[in-house]
Amino acid sequence: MDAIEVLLVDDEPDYAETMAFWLKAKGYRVTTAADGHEALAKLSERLPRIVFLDIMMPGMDGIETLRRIRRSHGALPVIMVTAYASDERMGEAEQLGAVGFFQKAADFSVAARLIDRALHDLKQRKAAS
Amino acid sequence: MNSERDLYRGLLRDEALMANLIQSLIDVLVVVDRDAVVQFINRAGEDLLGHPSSELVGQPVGAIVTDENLQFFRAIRELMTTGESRHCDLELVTRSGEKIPATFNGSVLRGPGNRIEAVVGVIRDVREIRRLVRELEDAKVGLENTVQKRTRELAAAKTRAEQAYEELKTAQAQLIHAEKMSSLGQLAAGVAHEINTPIGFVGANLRTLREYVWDLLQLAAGYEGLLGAVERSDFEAARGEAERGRALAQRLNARALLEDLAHVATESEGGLNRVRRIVQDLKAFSRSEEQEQTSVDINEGVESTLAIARNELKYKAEVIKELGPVPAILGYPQQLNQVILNLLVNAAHAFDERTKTSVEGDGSPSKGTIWIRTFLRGEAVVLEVEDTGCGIAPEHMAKIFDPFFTTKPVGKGTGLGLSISYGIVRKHSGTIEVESHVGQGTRFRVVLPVQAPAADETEKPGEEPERRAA
Ligand SMILES: Nc1ncnc2c1ncn2[C@@H]1O[C@H](COP(=O)(O)OP(=O)(O)OP(=O)(O)O)[C@@H](O)[C@H]1O
Ligand SMILES: [Mg+2]
Repeated sequence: MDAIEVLLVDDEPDYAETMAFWLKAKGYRVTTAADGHEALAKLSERLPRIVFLDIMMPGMDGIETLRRIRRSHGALPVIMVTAYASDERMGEAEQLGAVGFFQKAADFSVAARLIDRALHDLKQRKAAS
Repeated sequence: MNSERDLYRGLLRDEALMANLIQSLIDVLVVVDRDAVVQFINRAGEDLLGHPSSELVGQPVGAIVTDENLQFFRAIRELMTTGESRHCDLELVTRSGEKIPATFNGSVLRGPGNRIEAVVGVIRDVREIRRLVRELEDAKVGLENTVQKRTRELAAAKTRAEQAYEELKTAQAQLIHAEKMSSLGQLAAGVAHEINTPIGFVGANLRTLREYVWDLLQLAAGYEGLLGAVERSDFEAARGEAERGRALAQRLNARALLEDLAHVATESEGGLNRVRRIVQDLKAFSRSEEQEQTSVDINEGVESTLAIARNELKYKAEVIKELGPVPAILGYPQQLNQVILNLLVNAAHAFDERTKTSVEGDGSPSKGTIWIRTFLRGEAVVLEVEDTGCGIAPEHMAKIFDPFFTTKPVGKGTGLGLSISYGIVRKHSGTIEVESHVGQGTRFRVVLPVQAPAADETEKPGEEPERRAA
């Protein structure tokens, strides 16, 4: 089975690297981007199966990046990464079609389950349409 | 020296040897590259995880560790960024899905340009250590439980012991009282008899006296007639009256009557004195615990106790008093009387077995003898009670002062007499000595210092009065 490609967008290198390493250790192929602009650039080069997008970033924040991803890449599944369990921007992100929320404090294994569910839902939607 | 060192260096450079070394390690050695892919695993790793090295190399390291190892991934990431060695706990998953607790010691491998290329991890299976720790913990908990249990048990035992001690103290106090009461109870019958006898003969004497008085009145009437005739100078009549009077006096045995009259009066007086004495003794004896020490005349104590116990003793033994002149001592007279009484009663009981079998020449059973002596020895008043009774068996000698030790049938002895006497003598700073020969007799000797330390009420444990056995 081909490794699932994940794009990890986070301005915190410590956290991004740890999560990247974990995803790699679990057999995912991981590319990282440190901000929204870099993320959009990476997306235009190569399309991952799923994106982890930090909701709070300096400059272009997660919501704005998500809005632009929607414009350029339609239904690409995006999981928002949040620092807190609730964030007032979560509703906005949901309206913009975010497929899940991953809390930074959570166990990485939760990230793996979110990926599985997102990809499973996508397959079903595709089959339905 | 040098050549040896060179040889050693050569050996170390030998790659085959190095590979062999690594493969022979007991710990798992694993190399993971920057992309978290396993690049090498030694034989220990293959054995532990159940995968051949070929299945593991090229796989992400996540295949052999459980998802819960956040700190492991953090440690590797830190290793990769800082290059500093890291240590953490880890949980491995084997091919069969078994989870194995382990420790991870990581360091980095650097490539050209000093770039960190990979992490070298030494992983140690800690199941055995964990098991030992658990065992130790269990043992510790078990030990703690045992200690707690023992502590509780000890505390409970202590409480029980204290309760028992309190109960014993109350019981002892009650028993002492009961003993005194029962001694009195036993003696009550005897005392009643003691009183009845003098009352009986005083009553009989009174009847005799009444008859004597009647006779005397008749004689007096005759004398009256004689006197009248003489006054009238009627000698004829006087002669007749004198004749009648002499005849009457002869008939009544007037001389003997007059003698007996005095005797009966003295005897009655004696009887009344005896009753008065007994009542006084009883009063003295039954008076409740004296609060204060007073001066005690032991001889007086012997007399009053003998009066009380006379009935108990008189059919069993002849009591010989040898009371010497002794000074008064300071103490508790009623309690000392109780000691004397206990010794006397014990002596009397010592004849119970013997007297019935030993027969003297004339066929009448021989009464035993009890000597009760007092004398002064140095600075102490000595009271001796000696009997010619059954004696004390040598094996009983050590026990006779123990509370409840008795060789007497139920109802006859409680085994308290000597232990109580002991306590009383100790209270008077005295000692009790015993000398006894089976079949010959026993002598109890109570030694009471004349200058008994005042108010020596406080019991000093270990300060036992002397017990001496012959
Ligand atoms: N004069 C004695 N001759 C022989 N044995 C004696 C004499 N005095 C004491 N004993 C022995 O010592 C035992 C203990 O005596 P102790 O006076 O303490 O108790 P007791 O006489 O048996 O019972 P209690 O005095 O309570 O009625 C007696 O049972 C008896 O065996
Ligand atoms: Mg006795």
